[in-house]
This record gives sequence, C-alpha cells and structure tokens, in this order.
Amino acid sequence: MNLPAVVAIAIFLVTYILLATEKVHKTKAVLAGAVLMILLRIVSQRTALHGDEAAGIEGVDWNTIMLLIGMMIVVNVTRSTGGFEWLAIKAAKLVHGHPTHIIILLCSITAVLSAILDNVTTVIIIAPVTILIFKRLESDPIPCLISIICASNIGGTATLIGDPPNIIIGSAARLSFLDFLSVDGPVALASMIALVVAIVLFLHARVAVPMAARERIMEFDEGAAITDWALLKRCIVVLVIVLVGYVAHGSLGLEPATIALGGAALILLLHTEGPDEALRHVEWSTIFFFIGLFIMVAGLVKTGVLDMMGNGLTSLTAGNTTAMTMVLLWASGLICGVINNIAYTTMMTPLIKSIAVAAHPDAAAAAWSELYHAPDILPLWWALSMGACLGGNSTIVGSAANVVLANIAEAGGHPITFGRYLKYGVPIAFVTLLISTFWLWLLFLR
Amino acid sequence: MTAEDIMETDFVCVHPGMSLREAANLMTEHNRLFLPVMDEECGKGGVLLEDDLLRAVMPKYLDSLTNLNFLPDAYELVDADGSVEQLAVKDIIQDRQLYTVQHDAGPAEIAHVMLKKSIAGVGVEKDDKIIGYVTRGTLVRHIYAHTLSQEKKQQS
Repeated sequence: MNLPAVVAIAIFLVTYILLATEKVHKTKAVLAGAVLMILLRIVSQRTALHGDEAAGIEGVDWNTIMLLIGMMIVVNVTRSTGGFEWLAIKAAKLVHGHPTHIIILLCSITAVLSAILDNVTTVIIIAPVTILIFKRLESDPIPCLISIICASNIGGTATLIGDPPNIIIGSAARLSFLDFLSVDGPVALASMIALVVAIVLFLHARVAVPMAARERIMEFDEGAAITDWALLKRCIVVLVIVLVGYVAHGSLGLEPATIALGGAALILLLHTEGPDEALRHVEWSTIFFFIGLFIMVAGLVKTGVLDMMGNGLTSLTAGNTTAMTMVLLWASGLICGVINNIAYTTMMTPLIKSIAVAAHPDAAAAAWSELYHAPDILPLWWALSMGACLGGNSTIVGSAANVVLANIAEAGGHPITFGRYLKYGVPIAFVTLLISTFWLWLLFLR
Repeated sequence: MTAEDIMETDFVCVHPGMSLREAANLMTEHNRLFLPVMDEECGKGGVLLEDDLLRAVMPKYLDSLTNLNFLPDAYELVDADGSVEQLAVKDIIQDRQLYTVQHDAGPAEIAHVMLKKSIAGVGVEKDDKIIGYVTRGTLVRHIYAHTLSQEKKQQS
C-alpha cells in the first residue's frame, strides 16, 4: 500500500471516529477531513469537486446536493402553511380518538410523508402533535412515538427521495424513481403491514383509554392549524407536479435534481415572500456534511483503497452474488444501527462500483456505468439501500429522524431511553430485513 | 460626545442567581425588553431578553409547530410542569454575550455595534470593568437632540 493510501485511510478513520463519538460536530469533522485530503495532495481540488470520469472518480455528487437543496426548499415552504399539523389532527379526529387507530393512522401518514418528503421534517411535525394528542388522551405517547420512528424509516426506504442513502445510491447507480418504487416500494409496504400487525398485537391493550378521554380529541380545531390556505393550495399543486416529475424523470431523461430544483423554483415563484426566508431554512450544515463526505471518499477512490476493498470482498465471497448481496444487506443493516447511514452509504457506493469493475475485468472504462445494472451487481445496490435505510430502525441513534424525535420526546417529558427503544427497534429492523432478504431473493437471486 | 457622556450609570441589571420572577418584575417595572446580566464585580456578563423569559414557560417540544391555534386549551401549556418558580436567570440564560464599547467610543461607533448585532443596548467598558450602559433609546435621544441643536445653531 502506498503512502497516500495510508494517509487517506488515516484521515478517514479519524474522521469516522469523531463522527461516531460525536466529540466534534459531524459537519466540522467531515469538512476538516475533506480539506486535509486536498491539502495533502491525496486528491486534487478539481477532481474532488468535479470528479474524474476517466479514473472513475465521482467527486462531489452535485445531483444529490441539488436534489437535497431543492426538496428542502419545497418542504420548508409547505411546512410553513401548517398543512402537516392539519393532517395529523384530522387523522386523530377521523378515528374519534381511538388510540390504536390513531397510532396506525399517524404511522401511515408518517410513512407516506417520509417517502415523498423527508423523514426529519415529517417527525418534527408529527411528534409534537402526537405528544399533544396523547396528553389529551392521558395516555403514554412513547409507544406511538417509537412506532412513528419505525414508520418514517420504513416510508423513507420506499422511494428515491425518501431517505438520503437512496438519493446517493440512485445518483451513483443511475436508478430512477420508478426503479426504487418497484423494488424498495413493496418491501416498505410489507414492512408497514408488519408494523401495523405488531401495533395491533402488542400495543392495543397498553394504550386503551376511557371514552371520555377520546371525546376530548374532538375539541381540536384542525382548521385553525392552517396559517395560509392560499399558499397551502399552491404547495399541494407544486408537490403533485414534483411527484409526477419524479415518476417521469427516467423516461424524460432528466436527472432527479432537475425535478427538485424545478419544484423549488416554482414554489418560490408562487410564494409572495422573497426567497431569503426559504433559503435560510435549508439545512446548510447537512449539505456541507454531504460535500465533505463526497470529497473524502474521492480521496479514498483516488488512492485505490476502495478498489482494494472491492477486490477483497469479491475474492472473499468468490464472486457469489447471493452471498455478497446477503452480506451487504445484513452488514449494512447492522452497521447503520450504529453509524450514520449517510456516511456509510457515501463510502459504499464507490465500493460497489469497484466490485462491478473487479467482477467484469474485460469491460472497457467507457462501459463501466452499464456494469452497474449487470445482473450480478444490481442486487447489491438494492441490498445497500434496504440495509442502510431499514437498519436505521434498530437503535435510537440509527438515523437523523430517530435522534430528532428522541429530543422532542425528551423535551415533552417522555424520554425514550436507548434500552427501551432497543426492545421495539431491533425486532422491527430484524423483521423488515427478513422481508428484504426474501424480496431480494425472489427478484434477483432465485 | 462619548459613551461615557451619555451612559446610564445606575442602570438596571440582573444577577445570575436572581429568580425568573424577580427578573421579570424588574423588566416590566423599568419597561425594558432586555436586561444586562452581570456578576457582583461588574465584569463582562450576558444579556437576558424577554424572549428568554417567555421561552422558559413554553414547552420546548412545541418549537417546531407552525402555530398552536388548533389547541382548545393552549393556555394550560404555560409553565405546564410548574418548574418556573424554581428557575434562576443562570438556568435559562443563553450563550449571548453582552456587547461592550470602550468608554471613549463615539455615537457612530455605538450605533454601528447596535445595528450590526441587532441589539438594544451596549455596556460601556473602562479598564475591563463595565462602568455604564447605553440603550438604543438613550442613543437615539442623544443623537437626534445633538443633531437638532446643531441645526438650530446653524439656523440662528
């Protein structure tokens, strides 16, 4: 191994240790690591920022970055209308305050919103409303809050835009929104059914409340939650256009980021306020976290570290696709319960590319991108997607949405301890990964 | 005209150990939107805003909601856990520094700091001690009074 490779690995390990121990803010740690990669001439700035197609280096994936920024703008403007609060309260009233039905409906809303928007925004709104509803029911909100975490990670698995790992994978492997919906979608649907069955079986008796308490839910006035009906209507129109755009982007030959930025431009045009407020609420810290990670990974690719790992993994599993898919699915599931799934996926996508090239040594460099859809490589992308998204359910720190919800719950006087969450999270993660195993086998490995 | 000429020297301030109720009383009594927080030696301190006092009685988990109009009993949420009586200024004070100017700073310099930092007052510093306080109101009064009197002089 040459010196640059050793230095690149050292930078990477130190940064990941900082990420895992949370000694330094994740964005600060990753940006410092990224700049070190360039300063120490492990990768040039040009390659880091713009990639090097001939060498198979992606650099910063601007498709992912712009998709995230575009969707954040769309979501932030929509969120400001109070529409999400309306939806959650309407659901609780629709089932006349029946707690089990409330949990199921809130989980379903969370799953759908997480699939088409993003997990963190969804739980940021649904969680406080849930606490308010359960306070009124005089019942413990924690079972519902934990179910909502699981639903948000499951829902996010379903689409290209649902969860950051999917955005990264979709962009790297050139997989479309419909590809995700047809492969990850059924897994998410089956997982949601499993979650609902678990709620009915295990939570039903625990959350029972007297009829009088249920009546109190009907006193909520969901209409008053809406701050701007005119803007909400425009937001819904934009969201529908954006969704149609995503469904059609593959056949239109458009990158997903174009759809997201189109949605952002449209919603800003239809908004009477200037763009500053919507842009201020873009999570710039997350955006720079992504940029830093992409640069660090470019360093690893440039020095050949990921090629070495890819070769190692290929020889370890003797090129057996089934074995490799299963190892990737379960290892990703396990690892993403502990480390940040964005950091993990950013590193794993070039690794799968290396595996693709190693498995097809005769392919010309120009045809590499076609290799990513080869029958022995395609299931690996899906295994990574399912593992990274669903594995996040296993612990309370498994994904950003989990952590955000835990903080809201604690502020609401209902702390979700690591241990208490584990009792729900691990079985849900296990069952959903089993569903993924079966589905991957059925689709690709039979 | 320097900061030392216009500053208030017997300004109202709160101490870190003061209860929130006392701080709120001081604030309303003197009709202030904020109060400087200073330790006993009048070293550099922080700032307590009305926002901090309001935030202390509102449940944090509701921060992300757009509004609370849909609640039939939102008033019950104020100090819902009854913890406010036990809280002191030091428990809720944000990491917000008390901006200061030197005692010989002119009005333009003071106005610049206030506008740049969006703050309603600055401490006046001499030999590492806060010796006085200039509020926006005081500064506006002095600048306009000064400017107007200059104009009158010129007219006469």
